[in-house]
Amino acid sequence: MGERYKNRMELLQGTLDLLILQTLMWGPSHGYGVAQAIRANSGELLQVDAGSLYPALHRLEKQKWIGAEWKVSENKQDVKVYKLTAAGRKRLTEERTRWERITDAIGGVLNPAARKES
Amino acid sequence: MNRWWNWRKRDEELEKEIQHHLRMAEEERVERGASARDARVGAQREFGNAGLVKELARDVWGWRWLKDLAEDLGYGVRTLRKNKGFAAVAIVTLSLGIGANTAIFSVANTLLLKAPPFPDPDRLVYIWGVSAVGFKTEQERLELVQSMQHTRTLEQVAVFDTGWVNLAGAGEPERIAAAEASANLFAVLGVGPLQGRTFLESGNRSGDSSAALISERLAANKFGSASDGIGRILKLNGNAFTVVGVMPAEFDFPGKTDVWVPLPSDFAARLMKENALFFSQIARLRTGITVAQARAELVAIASQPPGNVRDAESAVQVVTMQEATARDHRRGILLLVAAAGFVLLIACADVANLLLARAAGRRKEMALRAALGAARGRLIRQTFAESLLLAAAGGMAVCLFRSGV
Repeated sequence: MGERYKNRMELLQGTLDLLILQTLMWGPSHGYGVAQAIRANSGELLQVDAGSLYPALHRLEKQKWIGAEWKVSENKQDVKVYKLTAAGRKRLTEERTRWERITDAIGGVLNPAARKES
Repeated sequence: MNRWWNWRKRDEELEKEIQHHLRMAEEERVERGASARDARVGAQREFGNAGLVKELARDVWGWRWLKDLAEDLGYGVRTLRKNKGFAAVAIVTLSLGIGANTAIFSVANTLLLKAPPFPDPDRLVYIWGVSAVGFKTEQERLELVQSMQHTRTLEQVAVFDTGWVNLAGAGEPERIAAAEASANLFAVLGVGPLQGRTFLESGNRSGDSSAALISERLAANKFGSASDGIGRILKLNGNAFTVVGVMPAEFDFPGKTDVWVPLPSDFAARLMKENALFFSQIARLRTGITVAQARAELVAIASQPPGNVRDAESAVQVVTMQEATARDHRRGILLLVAAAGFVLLIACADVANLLLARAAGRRKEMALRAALGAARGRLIRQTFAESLLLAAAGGMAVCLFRSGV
């Protein structure tokens, strides 16, 4: 079981950070909300499991890219709400640039002709 | 900063966070029309192994190892408590092995390893073999000893003799360990008195002949404190001595001596006549002089008049203090150290066998743990924690036993 989570974490490492930061760009959210938003915005394609999500959230929190706050929900539950910090915003821009360059590069490799034309 | 004392709070928060996640997922399923039970089971299934998620999140903060260690140790304690017989046998076996080793080591440490408790102990040497050779008179020997006082290789040579004397004049009469010593003994050893003074140094030692030094131990026993001892009169074998000084408790030369009196120039007047032939010489080498150099000079002196020691080359021995203490016991002690080592080895093998036998009975438990998601390393660590507990308990048992004795 440990293996399963580990493999997925490795797969998503890097991109998961990007997805979380981007999701929090639209506003503060709790862990479940982040997972649901990623799922919804990817057309149900990307399902982040808890074993990847929470370690990633805590890692980002530790690196001060996102901040965490405890709030009380409508039904009187303690909820940990994450939000983007200024450093996180900067990080998001960097991650996005990196991601775009990677996709461009991969696209170029997969389709050399298209690249020459442009 | 990631402070380790935060881990409990963080752990509670993590638990709350996960519970919230599960509740949200459950509510959403109910809204979509699932039954309460299906919703809960579905949410949990989607979430996966909550314990594992927690461990992975803890990893991020770097305090997982601490939590794991606490869990392993706590579990170890519970297991050992459940297997009292096994635990008792293992602990007793280990404590016997450890106890034997510490006991032997403390002997070896004082006799073989620790330097004698004097300044520059490397330069302290015993001179043997001179007094053993037959002399016609005590006077003759004294002359030889005195001729050894002025050498190029030795700073000073002190002469002393030990024995037992009857102490009277201070409470109950007692038989105590005594030493007759030349005035320079304390200078040679480099130790001063705690209170008062040591013997006066002069060419003619008789001036100080009725002075006595006592140990701090004796002063405390007889007079209450070290300073109260000064000036008191002691009767040693019927002769009156005045206490002029008290030696510190850590000064125990020679042996556990309680009273020191000056060695009179007239040997006939010696307090301990019965062993008049056995006195010892201790000397301090001059800086930079080796034992061999000192020996060469002493051999030369002994073979000339007034000594005329025949076969001085093989008779005279110069031995460092440390070697002298260890010499008689060295082989025996090393043998004991080895034996104690083997005892510990055997104890370890016994405990290993016990653990092995028990491990065979724990296959199912381990299989269950593996199935629940415990990694191989984690299982190994858990058994290590148990072994560590056993070893610690064995060590603790020895400590308790020693402090009790």
